[in-house]
Amino acid sequence: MKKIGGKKPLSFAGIFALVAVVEYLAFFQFAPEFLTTGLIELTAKILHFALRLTGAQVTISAETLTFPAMQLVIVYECTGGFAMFIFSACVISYPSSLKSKLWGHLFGIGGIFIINMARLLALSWAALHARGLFDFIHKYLWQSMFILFVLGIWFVWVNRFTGEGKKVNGTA
Amino acid sequence: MAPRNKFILTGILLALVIFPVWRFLLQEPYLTFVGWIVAAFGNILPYGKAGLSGMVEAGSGEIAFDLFDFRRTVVVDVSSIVTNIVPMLALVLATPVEWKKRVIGALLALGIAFLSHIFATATILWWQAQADTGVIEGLKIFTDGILIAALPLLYWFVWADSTSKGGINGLLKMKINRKG
Repeated sequence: MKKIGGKKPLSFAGIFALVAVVEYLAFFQFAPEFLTTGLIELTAKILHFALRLTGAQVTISAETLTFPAMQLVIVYECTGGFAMFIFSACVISYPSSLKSKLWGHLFGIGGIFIINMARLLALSWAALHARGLFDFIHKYLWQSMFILFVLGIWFVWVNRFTGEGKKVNGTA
Repeated sequence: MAPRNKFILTGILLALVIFPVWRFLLQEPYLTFVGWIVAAFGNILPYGKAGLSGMVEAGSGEIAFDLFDFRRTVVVDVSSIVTNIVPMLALVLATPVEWKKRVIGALLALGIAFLSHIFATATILWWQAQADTGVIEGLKIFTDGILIAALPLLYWFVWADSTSKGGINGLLKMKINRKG
């Protein structure tokens, strides 16, 4: 096959796909409770805390938030956990030091958690004030945008944490 | 502005433009087409002979299947699955290469997304039809949690790195896997 791209066009994508599958399988089989129910409860508690700060009338029971007009049940898909998997696969696949990969996980998973909390706050706002927008934000907006945010966070990591940014600036 | 920042910003703006076109004009006929093909696969997949049912509301993002072997109707919500077309197209069209390459890349993306939607919808229908809590459920969670979500990124990594002489490194002024 004639190579018109980088030296190994498929290698990064191939490693990325492999890591994502292995991470998922490991998670599906062996995930400790703090990574599953723990993340769900943490997400629900932080969301509840943030909503109380805004003065919203919302109560919490385990992973269920009750609004005046509806209930919001936080499940694993709501935590941004799958987006974290994808980001993690990007970081692990990229050739860099172990230290920068560790920083990448801290930075990226934290960033995705914050973006996801912003999404849940938007959903909560819809639940309180614009019920008609709830499904729209829930089903469509996140799906359309989140991968772009993941890629953006990954670019920042490559540029700031792996030393590639310095090389680029030096040659630009 | 750094090329990578401009690329992400353009990608987000394009996604915002593509999204309403997709959601309000194209999604409904597309879902009918996907549903028709998934129903046809019932001849070889365990959910058995199937047909499209008209019991879902237009624009709901759902496909209803009449499963003749199970004698019931199953509604599959595919709205969030098929929406991955939006970031996939946005990533390709935002990539700073010649427009001809972007158009070809976008057409290829549409084809791959279509196949992934057939696969995902059939998997979810299979899971719902048999109320499986084992392997098929695992495959279903992987499909709509990881595969469908990561597909735009995976496709873009391969396409962008192979479509220009400098690969992603040249496109975005950063290095991607030059050491393997």
